[in-house]
Amino acid sequence: MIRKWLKKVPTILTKSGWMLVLMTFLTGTAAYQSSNNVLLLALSFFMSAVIINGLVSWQNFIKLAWKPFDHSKFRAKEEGSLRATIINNKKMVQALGLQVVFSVKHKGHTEPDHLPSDIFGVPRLGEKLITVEWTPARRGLYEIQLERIDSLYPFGFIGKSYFIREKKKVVVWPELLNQSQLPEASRSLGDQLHQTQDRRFISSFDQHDLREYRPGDSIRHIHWKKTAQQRNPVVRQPIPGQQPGMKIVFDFQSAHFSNLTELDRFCSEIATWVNHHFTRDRGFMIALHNGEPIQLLTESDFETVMDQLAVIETQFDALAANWIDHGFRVVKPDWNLSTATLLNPTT
Amino acid sequence: MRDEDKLYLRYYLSQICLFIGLLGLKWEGLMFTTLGDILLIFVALTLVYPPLAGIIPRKHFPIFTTIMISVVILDFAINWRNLLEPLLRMVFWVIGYRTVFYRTSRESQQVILLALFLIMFTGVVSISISYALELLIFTPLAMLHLFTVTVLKPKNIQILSNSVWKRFRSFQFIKSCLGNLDWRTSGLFLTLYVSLVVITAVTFMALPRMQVRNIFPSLQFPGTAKSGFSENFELGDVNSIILDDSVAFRVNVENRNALPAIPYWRMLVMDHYEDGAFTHLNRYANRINNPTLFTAWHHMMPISIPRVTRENESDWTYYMEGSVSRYLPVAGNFRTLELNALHSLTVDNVLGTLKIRTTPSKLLTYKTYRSIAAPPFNNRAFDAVIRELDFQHLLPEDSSKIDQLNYPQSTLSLVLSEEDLNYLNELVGEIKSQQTLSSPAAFSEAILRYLSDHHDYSLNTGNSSRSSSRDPVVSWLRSKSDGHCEYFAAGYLLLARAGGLPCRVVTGFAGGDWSGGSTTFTVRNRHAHAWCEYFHPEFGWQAIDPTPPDRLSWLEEEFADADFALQSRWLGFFDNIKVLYYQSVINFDADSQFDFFRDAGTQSSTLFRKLQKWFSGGEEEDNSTITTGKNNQKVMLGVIVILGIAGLILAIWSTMRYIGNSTNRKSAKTQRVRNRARKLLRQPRKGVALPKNLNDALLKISYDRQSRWPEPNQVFKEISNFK
Repeated sequence: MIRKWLKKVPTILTKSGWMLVLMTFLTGTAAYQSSNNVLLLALSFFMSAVIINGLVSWQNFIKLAWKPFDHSKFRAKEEGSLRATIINNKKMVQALGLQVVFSVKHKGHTEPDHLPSDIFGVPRLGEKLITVEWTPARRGLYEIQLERIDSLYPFGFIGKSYFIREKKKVVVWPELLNQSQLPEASRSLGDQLHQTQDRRFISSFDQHDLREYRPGDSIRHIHWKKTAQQRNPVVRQPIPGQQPGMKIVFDFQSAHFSNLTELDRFCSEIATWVNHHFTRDRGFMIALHNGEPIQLLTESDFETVMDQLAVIETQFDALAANWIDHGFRVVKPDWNLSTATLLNPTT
Repeated sequence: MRDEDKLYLRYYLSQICLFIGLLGLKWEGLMFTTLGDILLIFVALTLVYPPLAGIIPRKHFPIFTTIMISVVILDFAINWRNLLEPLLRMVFWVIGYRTVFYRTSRESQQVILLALFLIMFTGVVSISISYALELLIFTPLAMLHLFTVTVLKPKNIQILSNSVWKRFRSFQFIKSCLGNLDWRTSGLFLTLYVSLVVITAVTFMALPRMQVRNIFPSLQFPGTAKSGFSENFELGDVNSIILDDSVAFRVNVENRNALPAIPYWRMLVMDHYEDGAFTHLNRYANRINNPTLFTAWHHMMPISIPRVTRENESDWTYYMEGSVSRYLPVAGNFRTLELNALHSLTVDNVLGTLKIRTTPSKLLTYKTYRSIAAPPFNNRAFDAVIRELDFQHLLPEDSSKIDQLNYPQSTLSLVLSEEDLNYLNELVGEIKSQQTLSSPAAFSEAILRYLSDHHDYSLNTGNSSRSSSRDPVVSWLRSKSDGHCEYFAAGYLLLARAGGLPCRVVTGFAGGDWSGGSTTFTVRNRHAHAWCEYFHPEFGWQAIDPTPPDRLSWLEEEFADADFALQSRWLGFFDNIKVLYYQSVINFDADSQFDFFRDAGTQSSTLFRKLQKWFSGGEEEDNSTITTGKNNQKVMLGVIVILGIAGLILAIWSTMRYIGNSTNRKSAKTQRVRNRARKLLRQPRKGVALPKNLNDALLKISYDRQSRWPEPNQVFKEISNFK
């Protein structure tokens, strides 16, 4: 049990603590060598400082609790926030000198980055919301962990940590670029969108298939009538090629990318393009490589596209040929529209 | 609190700590260099006006560092024989280095550490109570500093920027500090401080006392002895000490009756006099094995001393302040002497003096076991002894051969001009002619009578101007003017020697005061005194005080103004505290520790037995005085008191619990249910998600009000089924 507790609440000496231990040792040696009571008094002083520090540090962590943390939406190179609520259930005294530490780890990385909060205190029988700002470096799937609560309280000789290790998987959307950073071709493609119908006036799923509900589907896509009839949730799914507006498929074949930066750049360009035209209420449908096409009508659709852009990797298989049959324009990383590069036409 | 104020607070706390450290050093006279004084003034100025701390831009760090390291290395190289002073100077340099630039948090902590070093240095070198006081003041400041480092961390501030410091406004800063003062935090901090002090005291008492080996040299700076308490001094040197009212030493005696009303504390014997100057001639002392005045030896290591004492004998502990003398004052005979620290002690059996190698600069503690005070001087004590006294024939005609004489005949020497010698002989003839002198004591008494008849006591002697041709004491004898103790002692010495009576002058202290109702006797420098000893052929050296008895009343009148009385009262109070400190801290050795715990054990067992007896109705007590009814009443009263106390504790506990529950926590049971729900929420399930309804139920139990909970047991059961 003690081992378990120690694993949960490790205590380490800080630099100041090591200095104090060293001073205690030296003073003790000198005191006993010389039988000098002045030095023995100093030795007692140092020892009691260590004792008091340990006791108060231990007391500081008693009856501390926390709520599951939440967070804002994250986009690469943009500041987002992680929020944790710490509760102090002590009746008499406040908890002081606390610091929440989050750790964030990209899916492709092995070592996490640590994000400490500011030092804070929690009043007795109270709680405190702690916000930690974080700016992700790149898009992708991250594992965020509310790792621990640290404290150097009261004198900084002992660093004490209470490990929480509450994990969440978070998607970081691609970075938004300036319009000027987008390739010329993307702008000309955007210009064509101005002639399309406003997304607000497109009835969603004018032409649609029905399929069974799958976790992650938007509640707005549920076909309530069919659901009631079948006593199982049924959602509507747009039929590719039968929706109004421009249709684009983005080619993520690995042959087009020499490194991850190029892939990220392409994702950012797509995200910027999509964001730009979606906020201007242009109606269009996009698909990422051979993924499911999405008609961007609602915020939810937009978020789905961004989520897909956040995690998409380069694809080994070639783009399916039937995209063109369905009226999709194929966009390669250089944003040149092409229909001749389909290597593996599918039925 | 604003970020700037957090920064200022941290800076101020470290700077005050530093100031205390430097001030303590200055107070104890351990600065040794003007660098320390300059630093003290600079630190004081930065406390008044903090922007001074950034007087040198940080970019000049490398230049300053190079200069500092060079100077320090040079200092150590030059003074490598005595490393303590260069060490202190090095610390001064580092403090200066840290004081003329703005400091980061870590640098501030270094300053605290340096201040602690200064305080410890002061304590070790001076063994003064100021060490304990400094530590008591330093502790909360340092604690608060560390507290601010761990709790109040400035967020968005460029600490080392000059602009931050230029914005400093003391009023605004104080207002901000007071505005953020929270009674709960203050109470917590106060509790921490008191706990620290208590734990320090307990640890200090409990630490095992043992001496491993004395391999570290004693941290000792040589002090300077008072002019009247060194081997050579001139007329008036002892008198100058009288004007100093500071404490010379304290003696803790077990029994107040052990000391006479005016004890004479013998320190130094001057056996040679020439032209107004007294000299201590060691070379005589080694020639003769005279009967010892006392037996004394010292111990390097504390040893067990047999505690059997005869009647009137007791153990005395002396606490001699630094820079008084290297001769130890003692007021009589004793069996064993024990020095508290490692010192080289020389015992002169001929002169009856005890001296250590150098004058200590700090407190010197020693203990005399089975001590007994010398009886009060009775100048008529030996009237009954009839014996012819004539040492004159032993003196050589050539005064330069006096050194070849044996002791105590050598103390008959008179180094005077012929004219003065003739005058002295006339005077002795006059004294002798007035009565029949059949014994040394009678002759001694006649000299005393002559001196008191012709001279009065005064600190301001009218014979201050010295003639080059005449001896000042002979001139004083001629003038019939007033004089202080040295004149009387020297006058007696000359007359006695001229009359053939071996004589020597003794310096030390006469008198002292009891500190309040304690058993501590305090002797101040104003009690400095000089008297004489003459040699009696049958009884050896006999002490005699030629100064008229009105000396004490004269001194009392001199120091009797109201301010002095008030000062004395306060001084007495502080003296008692000092003695307590010396007894409980400085001299707390293995024996004291053993006694302390033994006494504590005895006291607690006695108390327990008393309580036991009291509650059992006092059966073992005298039944004739306590009736059974009274006993029963006592028992009942005891039971009621205990029940009352228990009830009070229960009431306080319930109230506290009620206050605690009044917010959102009903009971420990509720908390347990919450904890279980939270644990289930965190529990990994190997990729299988908990159904949403159960998940929501758990969230509600964990964080929502109890009134909105679903049935917890039901939820827990469903979850266990789900597994």
